Amino acid sequence: MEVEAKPAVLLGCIGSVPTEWLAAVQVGLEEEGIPWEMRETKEDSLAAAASELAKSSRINTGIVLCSRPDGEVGAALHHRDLPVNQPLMRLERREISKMRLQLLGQNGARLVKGNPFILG
Amino acid sequence: MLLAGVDIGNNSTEVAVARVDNGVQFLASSLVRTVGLKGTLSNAMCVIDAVDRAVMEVGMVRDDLDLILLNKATPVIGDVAMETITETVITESAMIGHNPSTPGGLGLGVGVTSDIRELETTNDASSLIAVVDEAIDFNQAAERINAAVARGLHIVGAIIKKDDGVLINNRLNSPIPIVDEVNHINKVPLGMPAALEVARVGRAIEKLSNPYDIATLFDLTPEQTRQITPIARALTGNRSGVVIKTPKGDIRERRIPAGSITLIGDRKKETVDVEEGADAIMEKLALVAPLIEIQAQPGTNAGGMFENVRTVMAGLTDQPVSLINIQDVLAVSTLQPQHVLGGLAGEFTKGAAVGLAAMVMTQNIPMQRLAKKIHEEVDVPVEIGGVEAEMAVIGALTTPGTERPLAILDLGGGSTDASIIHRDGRVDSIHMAGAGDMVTMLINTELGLDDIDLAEDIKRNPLAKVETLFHMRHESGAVEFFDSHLDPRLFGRVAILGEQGPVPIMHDLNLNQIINVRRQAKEKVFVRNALRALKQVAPGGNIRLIHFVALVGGSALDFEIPRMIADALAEYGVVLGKGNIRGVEGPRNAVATGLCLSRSL
Repeated sequence: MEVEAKPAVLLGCIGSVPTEWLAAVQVGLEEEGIPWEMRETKEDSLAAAASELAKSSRINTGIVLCSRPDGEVGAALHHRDLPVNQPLMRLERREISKMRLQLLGQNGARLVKGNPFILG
Repeated sequence: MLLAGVDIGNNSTEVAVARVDNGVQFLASSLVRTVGLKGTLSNAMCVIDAVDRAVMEVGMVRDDLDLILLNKATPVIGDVAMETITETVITESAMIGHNPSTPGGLGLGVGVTSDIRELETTNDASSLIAVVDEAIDFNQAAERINAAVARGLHIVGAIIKKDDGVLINNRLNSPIPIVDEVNHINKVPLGMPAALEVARVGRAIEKLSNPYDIATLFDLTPEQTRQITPIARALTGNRSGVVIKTPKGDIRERRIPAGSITLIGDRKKETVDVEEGADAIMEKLALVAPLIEIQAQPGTNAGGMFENVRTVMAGLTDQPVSLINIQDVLAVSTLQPQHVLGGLAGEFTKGAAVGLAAMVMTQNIPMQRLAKKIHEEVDVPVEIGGVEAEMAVIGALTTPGTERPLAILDLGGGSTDASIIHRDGRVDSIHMAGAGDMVTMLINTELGLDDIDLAEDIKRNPLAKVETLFHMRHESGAVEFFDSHLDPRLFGRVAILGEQGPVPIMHDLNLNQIINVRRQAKEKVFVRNALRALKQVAPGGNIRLIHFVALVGGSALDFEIPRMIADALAEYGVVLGKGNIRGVEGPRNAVATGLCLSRSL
């Protein structure tokens, strides 16, 4: 697998993800001062996609949002060294909110920085 | 004769079972947690439990015993209390000094505070600091500031309620210092001169932590500079801070009357104000030694504390309160984090405080009643054996490599006790206020935990910093890796390594801070008391004349206290180590062992 040259948390979307969801995650990362990059993902399960991005991220962290009309809806934060089907944090359909997504972004940044997570 | 020696301690009850005929042959031992206050009837069940466990070890039952020997418990009870003696009071909220994890921008801004909504209309030509409440999000805030700057206004900084500092700064055309996470933004006075400073990552603010720089910025008189000093002190070490000059701003350091205590010695009497601090109390204590009684001013905090100790003791011993005498105190200076009254973001400053441990002696712990109750339950004769301190040294002498004169230090929860057995077999002993419970109290206070159980865990266990999902760095510097990932709650935190695995400390404290407070608390109490106690039992007060010192009791098992005491005693040329009772028990079981041995003498 290719590892990117630039250090950044990699973000990906599956299905038609509302732009404000993505913006919330990006704001969370920005406030903590960690750069991010958008990437395409070929995987179609949330956990597998997040794991794939984490593995190609130079700082070992990937976040994927997923929204399919008749399928999976959620968000996952993954780390390179975790088992593919066990993302570090995961938001289910009913847990999705602007605030929770921003926190997911912040926690992704904190994972990179080694700072304690903000756990709700 | 088959004999069980039983030692009921504050925290644990220990048993030694031995066959005593011509010699003594030890068969078994056990240890259980003491139930109830030491020496009271509620101990009966744990004594029976401990005896059962010990005899079971050698395939016997309690009926096989010919005698149960209880220790004559040292009639000592300790209590601890904390008295704050200074407090910083700031009225008219004049300061914000906190450490938001991610402030925005960089540098110093000096201007007049102004609501961000006013920026659209005002024509104020002076420097302005924008105040942003939670109704305005980071996009709007940045747009408004950019628009105001485009109109020619001079914006030099911003104070924000939400955690948005970096976001706003990233959207500004010209960056300014921004302090965020200011909880009580509505208390920030508008139209007032203010100074705001943000330092680089890893640095602390320099201007606002220096009283003369604050005086320069606000053109203060010497008297006003004196008043501003506590603010500068509270801001020291922060990455960001704000100082606002208010017309009636008032900051003062208030001394809290803690009351005075009178130390009554054999020949002399001294009165000392608790406010004068721990050292003053300990100096006066040395002047009046030996201490007979302590009286505290009624109606003060100090008075209340001593009253409590007396009441507990009186209840326990069925004696009138007036007959209970306090026979030792240990005073320790400490710093107590306090909320700054009038602060805007939950600021803390450190106030001086005195920690006090007091010890009470009584003639009359109801051991006879306890012995009778145990006898009724088990149908084995029960007797009260020798004095605890003597039994402890006799037991400690079974440690390989020791001989008379041997001193023991019993580091307990409520008191620190020392005994010495001289060459001729005479035993002297002394009890000192201040032990494990006081260490716990100091840790709890100095770290601002407000959680005694957590403080107790911090006292007992080493710490580690969880650095990644898969490894932690122990306080010794060693790194430990794990096969599967650690609980996310541990990530990035300091963890207590207890028996149940790592437990995260959720307070915002770093590893070194916690270690320093823990070590200092142990030094202030145990090292000081070890020296104090050994001086009193040593021949001629000279510790050099004691050749062997053995540590016994629960705190002797602590992972760092024995080393600290060994360091402190190194200069006296004494052999010091943890006791190893009968060569197998470690520092445990000294009194129970001594009880069995005393029957063969």
